[in-house]
Amino acid sequence: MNNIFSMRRFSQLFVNHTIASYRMYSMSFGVLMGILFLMMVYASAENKFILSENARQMFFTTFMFIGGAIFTTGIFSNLGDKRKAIAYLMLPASNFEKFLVAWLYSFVIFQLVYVAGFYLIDLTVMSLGKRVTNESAIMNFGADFRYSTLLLAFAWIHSMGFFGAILFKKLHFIKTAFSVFVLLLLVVLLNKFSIDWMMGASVETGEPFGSLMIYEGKKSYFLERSEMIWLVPYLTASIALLLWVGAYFKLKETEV
Amino acid sequence: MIEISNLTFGYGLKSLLFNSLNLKLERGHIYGLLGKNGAGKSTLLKNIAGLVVPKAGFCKVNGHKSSRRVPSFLQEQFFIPEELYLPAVNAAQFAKGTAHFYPKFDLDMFWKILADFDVPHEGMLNKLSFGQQKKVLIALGLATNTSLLIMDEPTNGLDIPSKIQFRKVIASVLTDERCIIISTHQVRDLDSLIDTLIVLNNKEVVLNKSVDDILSKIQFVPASKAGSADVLYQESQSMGVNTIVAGREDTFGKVETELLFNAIVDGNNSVLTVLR
Repeated sequence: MNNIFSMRRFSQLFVNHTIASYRMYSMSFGVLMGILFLMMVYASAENKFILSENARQMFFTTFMFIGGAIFTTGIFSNLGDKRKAIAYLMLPASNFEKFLVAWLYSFVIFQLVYVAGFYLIDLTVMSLGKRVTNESAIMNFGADFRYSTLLLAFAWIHSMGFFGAILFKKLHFIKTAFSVFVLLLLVVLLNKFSIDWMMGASVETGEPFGSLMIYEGKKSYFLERSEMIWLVPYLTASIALLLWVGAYFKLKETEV
Repeated sequence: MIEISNLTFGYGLKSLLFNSLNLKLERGHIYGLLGKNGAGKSTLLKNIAGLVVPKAGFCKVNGHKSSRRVPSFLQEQFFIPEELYLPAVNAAQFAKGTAHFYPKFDLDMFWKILADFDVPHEGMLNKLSFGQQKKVLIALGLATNTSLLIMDEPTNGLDIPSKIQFRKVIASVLTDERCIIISTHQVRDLDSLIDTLIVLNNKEVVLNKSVDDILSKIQFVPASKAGSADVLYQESQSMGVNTIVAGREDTFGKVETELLFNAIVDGNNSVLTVLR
């Protein structure tokens, strides 16, 4: 018997999860889409029913990131309730299968459903405006927009939410968001103080590998962002991967 | 079947509930796990079920370390917790969704036990009363036909007819291949059901004896029939003074679980000494 993965067990677990959660997921998705629709209609109506592609991209990204983070941090909410946690952990499926169902729902299925939902709303909003502006109703992210970049950013957000979902028993979203905020603040501060120390001068900087403004007496020098910036996507992907793996091991060790 | 070796466990960093606990449980028995509140009955069951991870030592069931919770271990055990959760589905959907995970699941048995317990088949399970929900989970647990069935305070929330039914059902499902562990503080609920007594006291298993073994060493008799010389423990009860006396070959009887339990947790070492 394979104690890591069995397609029969996995598919049954997937079906069980769907039956147990579809009502809540449907309602949550409805609320997300409802708010998105209202805000896009409002923004469109404010500007004579013209909604630029930048604005649409902004709506798409913001709602995807925030909606995805809220959904992901709640994916293991069962573990916060002792009674539900026992039922969940005692179900004869492997930790990997349980992990995979949660990961698929929160990372893959969320994106698919969200993109479909967004396009539907976008088409609706644009068709409302079309009567006034006669603009195309087809969503176009523009030539310089790459979904892979968005996917990487979403993977990063997802991995933190996923880890927080298992790490915290209650108030998953708030505790995860707060932890990420504190962590990012520490990274920025550490980056600034280490560059100050290396340069021996006061340096104005923000994120790692970003541009620098060095102050020396009355003179100041500007340095373009580091050539090492190419590392950022790899670092982001590595962090996401590490957090996913960490979440799996945390799930394995979960106690009730 | 169950091997607990040098199990050390505690929820905090400093306080330990168990320190190097050892215990072996076999198939074909109904074990009654007794202990005072806070003695660690539920925690011991959680260790066996794999819901917690020991700080040291191990708990193995059928050769699997419980805390790893691998499917081949989980599909051979069913845990009925004291506080339970049932989803918003009816009994048929619940059984259908669960049966796939247990190779020996017997659907007919599930319906029969539900009928014996007088639980309605229709309606959402999460809307049933606590007692009814417990009966559904007991029925499901028995129908899984797992080799290990663990029940934590199963009679809590059951009315008197249901408790009687519970005893009948449990007695009827015991086979040589099955091990049933029942934890309770309502010791009278287990009278005439269990065949082996396990008592937890002061972080230790102070007793793990079959009822037959116990009866071969001590008897439970009214004070009026006990010889004063061999009384190991006595207690005033509503029906008079009852005693535990050292075994006498000419007498037969049954274990007064509550009296024996009180004798042990009161720190009466003479009873334990005789039993050991």
